[in-house]
Amino acid sequence: MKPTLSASTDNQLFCWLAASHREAEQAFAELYARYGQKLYLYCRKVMGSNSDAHDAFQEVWMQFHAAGKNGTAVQNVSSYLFRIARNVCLNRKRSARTFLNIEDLECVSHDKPYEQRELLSLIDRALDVLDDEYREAFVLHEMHGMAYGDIAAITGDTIPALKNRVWRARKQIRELVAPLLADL
Amino acid sequence: MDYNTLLQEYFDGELDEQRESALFRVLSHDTALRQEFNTYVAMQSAAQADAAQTVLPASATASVFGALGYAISGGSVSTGAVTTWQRLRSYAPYVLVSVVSSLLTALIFFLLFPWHENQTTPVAQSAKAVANATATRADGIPHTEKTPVEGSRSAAVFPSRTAQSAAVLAAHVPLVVSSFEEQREEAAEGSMPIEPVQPVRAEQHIAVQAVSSNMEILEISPSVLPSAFSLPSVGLSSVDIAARSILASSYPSVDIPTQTSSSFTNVALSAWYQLSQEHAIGIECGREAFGQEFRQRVGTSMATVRQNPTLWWLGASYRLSLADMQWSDWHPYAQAVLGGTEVGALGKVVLGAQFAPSRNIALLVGVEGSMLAYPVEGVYYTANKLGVTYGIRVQF
Repeated sequence: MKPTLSASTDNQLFCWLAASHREAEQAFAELYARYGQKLYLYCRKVMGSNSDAHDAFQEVWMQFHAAGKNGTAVQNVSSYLFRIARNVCLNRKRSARTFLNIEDLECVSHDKPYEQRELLSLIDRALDVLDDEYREAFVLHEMHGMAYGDIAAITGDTIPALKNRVWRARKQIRELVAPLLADL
Repeated sequence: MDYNTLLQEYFDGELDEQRESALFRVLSHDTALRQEFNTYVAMQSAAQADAAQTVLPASATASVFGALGYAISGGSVSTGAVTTWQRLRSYAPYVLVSVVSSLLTALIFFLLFPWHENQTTPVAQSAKAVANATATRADGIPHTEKTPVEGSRSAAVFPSRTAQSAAVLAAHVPLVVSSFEEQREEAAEGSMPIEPVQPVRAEQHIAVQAVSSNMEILEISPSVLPSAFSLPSVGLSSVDIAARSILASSYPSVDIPTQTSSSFTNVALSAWYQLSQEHAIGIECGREAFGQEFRQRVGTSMATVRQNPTLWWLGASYRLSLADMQWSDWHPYAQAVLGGTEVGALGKVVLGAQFAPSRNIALLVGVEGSMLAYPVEGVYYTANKLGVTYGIRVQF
């Protein structure tokens, strides 16, 4: 007797992607519920615009689903998913000339205090200026709250290197944001 | 002491208690460092708050699920219905509705059209009266049979169309019926001309009524007509199956691809039990796409979700064949289906025409309308479809 979806592990759900259509549909929906929002946040922050994030987000899930359908052996499903997202986002950024579109920097909710909205807007603009590897490390550690070990499983870098990147990203963002923070 | 390292370890959550105390001691009198520390705190808080409050757009979800051909479950992605028993339980209400509808339909029609095989009916009495009466031949010359009335025997000597109708009527009266074989034997013995009993058709029904008015016999009760006019090919054991294809447009119109890998899509199969020439009940199942558009909470916001899932459906059916309105081999029919899918109840109505080149096969074509009612977070929505259907029906 199979466990309920919410009690299933990521690996069990990933294996069910290769099962019947009904089971694959339910397993995919559960995985999507667990990682959809985090993955979209990653794509949104790394790609820098809603439209690019939307396209990358869909491509990531297509590749992920295809891998599950083909029975790809995966040890850590979340790391695998974010590795796919990383590759997709970096490839898209390299192949496309992206321009900073002010209209796309709509990442805040009007429910938040004014100062926080402004700060988020500043942080987002600063992220766009960062190198890809710094931006990625900052988003995964600061926004997703991932441990350095999990980030290392995604990027393939060493933990000391990742720590260094996160700290450098913090400093660079602070240098860009600090003069403007005084006005808030 | 490297304060940058202390700050880094503090925000990474790796600073022990002793070193943390040292850091705060420095922050208490170093304004520049304190400003830097406060900036990092604000950045971290804003980033974490932003991450927690980021809403996954419903359009992104719809495009992902639509591209994969999966349905977005209304209200919850985690149905928990993985086991076979849980899956069957989810279909139980719709199966129950189908079975109850079938039983109710059968009960209603058995009450309206009672089937009494051995009852002496007014028709039987009328038939006997007709058989006893003097019939008028087509040429207007009165004709009186010579032999005493025995129903079918007297029917055998009425060659005219009117008399033949009476013969048919008499032939179906239980009390006086004798088989055609008996007639033939009797005819072989004597010189009695015989006419084979012909299957009753609509015009003969009219002819019988004409006979009735001429002969002033008892009025034929409509409630016993099915018994008197039952066809050899239509009885309690009559079963047929049908397969049809459905081409329809959805309202709301949802331009999202649906799962099309299965060949069994937009097709319906049914099994029918004919209560009479006009009425039949059955069970029908099929699989087709339904365009859905509804409001659903995604994170902290309400989003409009649009999807085009392909769903299995099952229902109880009723069919009315208007054989009286036949033209050539065509006659109209109406069909209603009441059942459900895995997401909600479903109702269908078909108005069409049937072409029956032979007794066992009929081609179907018609217009079909359907409505799917499904709940999402306590609110009911409908998915409507209108289109054409065509298929084939095979009678055993």
